[in-house]
Amino acid sequence: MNGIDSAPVLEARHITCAYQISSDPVFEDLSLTVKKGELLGILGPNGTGKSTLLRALAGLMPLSSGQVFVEGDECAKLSRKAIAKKLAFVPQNTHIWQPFTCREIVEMGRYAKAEGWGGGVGLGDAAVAYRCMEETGTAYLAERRVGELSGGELQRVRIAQALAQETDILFMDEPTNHLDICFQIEIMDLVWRLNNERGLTVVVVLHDLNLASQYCSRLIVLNEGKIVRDGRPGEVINADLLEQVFGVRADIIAGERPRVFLRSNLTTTEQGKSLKARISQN
Amino acid sequence: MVERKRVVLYVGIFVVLLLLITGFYEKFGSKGLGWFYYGKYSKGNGRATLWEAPYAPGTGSRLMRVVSLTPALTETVCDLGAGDCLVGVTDNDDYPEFVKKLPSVGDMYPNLELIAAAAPDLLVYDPQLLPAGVQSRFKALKNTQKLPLHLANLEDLRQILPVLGQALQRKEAADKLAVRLEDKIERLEKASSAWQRKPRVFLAIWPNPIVTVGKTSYIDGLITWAGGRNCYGELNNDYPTVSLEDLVRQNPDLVIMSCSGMSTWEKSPGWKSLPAVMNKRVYFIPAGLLHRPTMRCLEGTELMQRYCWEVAKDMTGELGAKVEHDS
Amino acid sequence: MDRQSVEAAWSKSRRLALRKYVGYAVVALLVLAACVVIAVIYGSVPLPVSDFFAAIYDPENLPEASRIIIFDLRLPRVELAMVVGAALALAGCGLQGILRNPLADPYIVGTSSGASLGAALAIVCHIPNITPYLPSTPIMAFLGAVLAMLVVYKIARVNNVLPVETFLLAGVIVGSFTGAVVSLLMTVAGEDLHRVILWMMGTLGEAGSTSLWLVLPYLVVGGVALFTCAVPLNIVGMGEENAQALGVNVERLKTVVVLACSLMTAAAVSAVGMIGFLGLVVPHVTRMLVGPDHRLLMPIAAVNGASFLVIVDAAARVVAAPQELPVGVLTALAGAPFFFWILKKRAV
Repeated sequence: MNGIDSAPVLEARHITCAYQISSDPVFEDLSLTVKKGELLGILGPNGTGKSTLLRALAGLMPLSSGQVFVEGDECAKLSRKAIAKKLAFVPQNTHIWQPFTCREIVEMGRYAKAEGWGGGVGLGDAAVAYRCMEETGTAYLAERRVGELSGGELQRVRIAQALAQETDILFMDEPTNHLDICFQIEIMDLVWRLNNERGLTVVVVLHDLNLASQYCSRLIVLNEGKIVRDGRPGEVINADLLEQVFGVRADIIAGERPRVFLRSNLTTTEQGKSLKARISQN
Repeated sequence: MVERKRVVLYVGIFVVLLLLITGFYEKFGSKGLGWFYYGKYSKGNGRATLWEAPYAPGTGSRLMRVVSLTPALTETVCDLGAGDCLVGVTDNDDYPEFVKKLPSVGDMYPNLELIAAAAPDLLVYDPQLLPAGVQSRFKALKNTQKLPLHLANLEDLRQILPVLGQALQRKEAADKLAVRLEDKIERLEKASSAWQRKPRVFLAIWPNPIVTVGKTSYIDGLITWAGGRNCYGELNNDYPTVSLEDLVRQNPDLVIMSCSGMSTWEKSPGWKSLPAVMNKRVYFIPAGLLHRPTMRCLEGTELMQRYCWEVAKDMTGELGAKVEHDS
Repeated sequence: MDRQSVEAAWSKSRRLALRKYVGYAVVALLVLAACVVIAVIYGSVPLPVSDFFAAIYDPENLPEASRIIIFDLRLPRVELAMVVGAALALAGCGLQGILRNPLADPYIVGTSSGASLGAALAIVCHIPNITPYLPSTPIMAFLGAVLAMLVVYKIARVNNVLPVETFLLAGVIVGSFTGAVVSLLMTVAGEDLHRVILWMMGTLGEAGSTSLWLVLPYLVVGGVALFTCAVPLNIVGMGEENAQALGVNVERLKTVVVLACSLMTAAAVSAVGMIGFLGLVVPHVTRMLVGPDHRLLMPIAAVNGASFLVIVDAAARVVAAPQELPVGVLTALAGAPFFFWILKKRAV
């Protein structure tokens, strides 16, 4: 976790966000500061607004009030291209209806910085795109059409596209969702490397507590629109959090990067006792 | 990839077929192209094709080429003696006989390309009988004199004769024809003016539904010249449709059927109970003799006058003035 | 991979891409040339092929009839067909790209219904010609189309954002309303009914230089505007949120594309009436042949649209010679087998 500056690279001040003007806000008066070089994980039960918060920080969600500052500039005042030069966003699902090749998809990531006229791709752009595809392990897919890819491969191509933007900040919304376990590890390792070696600031929404604990340098837990925990993994992940916020019981190996073993609720009932007996037998 | 190749294949086949049909393969047809409809067009309806140029017999010099889009005007052109100048008519032209063999430039909508192919010097037409918008396209025919002549009744005929004669370079014939027109009308009027009683006439110009003539049609005037009184002469319509009950109420003295084809009424008992029908006062006049406001309709009127006289003389019960005709 | 091999691979792919581009362009232009030749030769009057070449090289010695037929009657139609076909195909491309749906049609924006309302009003109410050069029907149709487009835009726009679903629904609303009014006008039309129906079926018969100048400026301006949006249109195919994250100003793109496409469609429809399926079929088929990149797709689709309309107009003039079929009828007839083919393809 070296290279963390004290200068905030991303700052949200008293932001309120709602899907529609008249409906209840997803979160209100929320303030958050992200320092340069952090690997920030956002946790929380579903529906508490993790994705919305991520989008609001990335400037993709209109705010009812408050401001978001990226590298000192207010998001609302920047053009789309300027924002795209500063931060990259990888959503949960990607659906592309046109039969582009993966190489063309990744090269689209260069739109904000492209050398060619009207967003066209030049030699430098192609080199960057190829490098990003190598880093994400998708170089072999370069000439395949996106319609032929599996979900995992498509997600990795999308990440390659985001990396091609060559920004200092990377946002990812549940990037490991439909990936094989080996790819989950691979992606998180990649993110770790980017954060460690290149000093990329990463903000990730994760639902897997173990992954969050292993990789993130700082964790935030959202519950009902408020930040209820904020700190290192070792401080944040404890039995209290799991019971109060997530409503589960677990065995936790404490430490700087805690491990969580979820416990079934059935173990206290009669049926649960036989289940526990069966487990302890094997 | 397979679908792309198949699409290319289809497009390729299509293009090859088109090239074959268009006669880049010049074997088809002497003109090289469009052999299939060219053939149909020249043989299907008994009309000639458009590539024949009329020549003044014996002189070798080219006659004026005239295309007429209205049957009534065609007849008038022929009456003026310029029949051999005609190089194009419509499908509806059928008088005089040789006109049926002339090339046609279309039906309701005259086809501009066919008119242009006929290369006319003069294009005569009735602007009110053309569909809207067609007239404005005639400006593409740059070397053609366009002569719109409205011909709806004999008054119009009087007015257009000098114009048409001038355009066809047949002024004398036009003057003579105008004189003959006036002459005939005068004679008709004089002949029937002496009658004591004018019979009531019912004139049908279309069999199904039965259509008669009203006040605003020129045929109504013809009936008056023929010495009859149109039953429906008060109606402001051109050509009103009538019902059998109304006809029974009108009770005409004679019935003139000037249409082709049988009417459905002729079987019905209401028709058969009409006094005119029972007295065999039903006469037939060929449609062509009355339906167009040309010199020919005066022939039809003379025929009508003869029939009216037959009825009139029986009605008065005495011999009225004998009717003179020139046949 | 080191810099050198990346450069080598890069220039090789560039060469290939350029060759592909030129290849497609040449083929498309050849097809267009063939269609123009056929349309000039075909018609109610058969012309020999020699007349066509004489028209190019030696116009003075043509027989006068052929000269009039080729230059005054057929060539204006061919020119108008090219321009209108290109405009409709481009509009279809743009809308299919921005709506992310390969079955979108330029008429969903409501321009066609507005244009038919304007034309019906002009015909039934006998609105007189304002200038001697241009009859009133195209002008009223254009005004109607623009008005309908503005109404659709106004209804669909929510908070400075143009969501796709409301856009489509607004098009349906405006379409049904104007359709009802047009039906009403048709019942009181009397003898003008024939003209109204004929206009709505689409015909190139009114071709003349004025119709051409009605459409050409919109084609040029709209085409240039769309071409500058080509790369953003590619990116928007990934979804609006993704595109925004990559730096595309999606709202501005939507405004520009919808405006350009609507104006081109409005001009095309007011000049020739409603010619359907062209804006749907041509971009779709071109995309299957050429690929989804809009930088290549849009120009090729424009050329293909021009060829398509030229050849269909020739067919309309020939199939029932000497009568002229309305072009819209022929394109609609061609549309049904096309959709059948799409259905079969997807089922397999």
